[in-house]
Amino acid sequence: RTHPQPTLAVHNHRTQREMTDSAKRQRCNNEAAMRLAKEEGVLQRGKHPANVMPGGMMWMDEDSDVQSGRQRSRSLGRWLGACSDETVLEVMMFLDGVDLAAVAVCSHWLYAFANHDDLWRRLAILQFGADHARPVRFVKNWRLTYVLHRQQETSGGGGVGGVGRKRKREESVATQSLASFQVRKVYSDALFLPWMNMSRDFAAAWLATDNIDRRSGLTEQEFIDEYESQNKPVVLTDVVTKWRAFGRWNHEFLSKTHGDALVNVQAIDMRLADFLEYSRTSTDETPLYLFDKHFAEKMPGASEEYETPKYFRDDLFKLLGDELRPNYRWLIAGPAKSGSTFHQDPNATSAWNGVLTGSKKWIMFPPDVVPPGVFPSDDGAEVMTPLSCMEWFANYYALAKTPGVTPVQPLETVVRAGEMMYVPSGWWHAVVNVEDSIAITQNFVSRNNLNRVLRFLQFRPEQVSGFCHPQGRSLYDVFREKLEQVMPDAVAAYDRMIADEEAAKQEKLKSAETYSITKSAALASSSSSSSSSSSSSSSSTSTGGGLFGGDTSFSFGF
Amino acid sequence: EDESVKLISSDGQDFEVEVKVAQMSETIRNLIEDTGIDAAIPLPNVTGKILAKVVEYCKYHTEHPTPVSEDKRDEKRTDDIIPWDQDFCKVDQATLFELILAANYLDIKPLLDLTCKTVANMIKG
Repeated sequence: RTHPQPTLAVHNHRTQREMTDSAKRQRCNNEAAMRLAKEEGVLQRGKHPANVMPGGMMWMDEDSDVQSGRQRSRSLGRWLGACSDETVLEVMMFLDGVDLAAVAVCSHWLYAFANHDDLWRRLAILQFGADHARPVRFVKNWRLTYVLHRQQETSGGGGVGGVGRKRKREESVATQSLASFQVRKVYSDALFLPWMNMSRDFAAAWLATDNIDRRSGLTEQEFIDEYESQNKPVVLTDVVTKWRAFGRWNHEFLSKTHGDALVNVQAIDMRLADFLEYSRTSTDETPLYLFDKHFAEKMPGASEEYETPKYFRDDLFKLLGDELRPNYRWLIAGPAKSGSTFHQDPNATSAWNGVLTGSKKWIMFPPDVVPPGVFPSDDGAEVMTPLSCMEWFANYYALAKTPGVTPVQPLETVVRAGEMMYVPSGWWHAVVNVEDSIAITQNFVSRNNLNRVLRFLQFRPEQVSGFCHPQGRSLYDVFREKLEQVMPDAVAAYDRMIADEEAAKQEKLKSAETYSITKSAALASSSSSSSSSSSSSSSSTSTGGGLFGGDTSFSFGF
Repeated sequence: EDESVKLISSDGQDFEVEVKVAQMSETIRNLIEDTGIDAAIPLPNVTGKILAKVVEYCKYHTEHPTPVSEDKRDEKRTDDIIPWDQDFCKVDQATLFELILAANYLDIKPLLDLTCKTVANMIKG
């Protein structure tokens, strides 16, 4: 690692005669560290808005009260000072806007905590997220957004209908009065790292690998033979370019034509125009991501401006009809660094994802390879991953690429505007917007992934999503019924496959059972002609011939 | 089912606690999974006085489980503390904060939430 240049320190000493020695040194150290961080590409946006510093930098502060923690305790108070930063944030999460504002004026450290933008984002989402009469409009940062929203609630201004002069005046007044105070000697990773992670741009290394096939001009059969039947991803380059929406759908067009549509942005409903503006100005580490499954209804005419590519028209869930069919199509949009962390698509369906504007980084692992940094529960029902895509890249990407860590290297690429990704059933994937992006995605069941889907529906009914039956019937039952009417041969093939698998499983269990029962029989020396009671937990299908029949049962012999 | 495990505080006090009560602490639950219940578990970060309170909390809440609200908005309410919990938290500030630290170290989420909520209410005044 390079060290700060001595000349920098000398230069600063000469030009700041007014300041005390320690303050001068402090400033040198900070500037040097900043410069170092900038050189390493870590800090792109300058310093934290309230001047919070990274936790480690407290060791460069020569004030002994800082290094001992006394300064922090004095600033936070004896009791909060005894808690970790994370615990202090836990406490703060129980406070509402008024309380946070009151706490903020007490001390430097309390100011830093109370103005942590994530706290205000939570408040905004919890209190205003579902308010359709007055949707959340993001302005600059979450604290300002919250204050403005409350102001407008009480003064009766704002609401749906766009930005008027009065509103702009309110905004500028609020912005000025909330201009950030600069704290001193607040060293906290819990407060600084979210800021840093968001300021950090994609490292070139994360975008470098490109090992997914790119194809154009494929016939349907070629697609099936080379990709779908092998459950293999591919990027199609000649599909999205033919859509009417391509080249037409951009921020300007969408804001003008569908700006008032209330779209679903994670936990909030927002006007599309307001979301697009957030998308342009957001500085969040985990930006909000628009993911709307009813965009076709909310944006009249939208579904005519794109077509499902010919390879994917065979969506068997169509058989369920519009009422029962699980969610299958989404409009997705978001700023750079927004995206989805590792997941497998719902109901074992396959998907296509067509990018209209911007570009997305994809990283994928096959269905039976759990990515590093991803922790599914034993039954697969819950998946734990680090908070944000950026965090995953910063902490796990290098590990994921180290040979031997996973059985295969991940597939990666950057999908650009006009291109489309095919995600085969069950594949783990994470997607991050490299730049502000707009895309359309659909999930589907085809003949080729039908067996996987049926198996998932039959054996993991508790993980089925996006389906609600008025009489509480399972998706498996309803779907199977429809399939039997239209393609009974496919259902029969599925049943045969399951039966074969079950038989194979029984074979394996039987030989294991034979081994253990042989052992206990030898130990107990009881009569070997006792009736074959199947004491294992497997199902009781008879395996014929009895467990003790023939020589094979003693082949493991003692 | 009424198996118990021994916990030892930093100042050497022993606490014989039912396993299912002790397992309200994720830290202790993980330890038990690794080393079983036969060995006593030392807790060098928790004094006897505080451990006694923690055990009291866990005992009560194992016997009287409180239903968890599904509504996200209820997650951070501060006006829904049950009377027993309110009484439990009527302690001096020092004890309250030591309970926070213990709940954090022992990874007992409901107790951490309760104590943080109580502090938040103190801040609100």
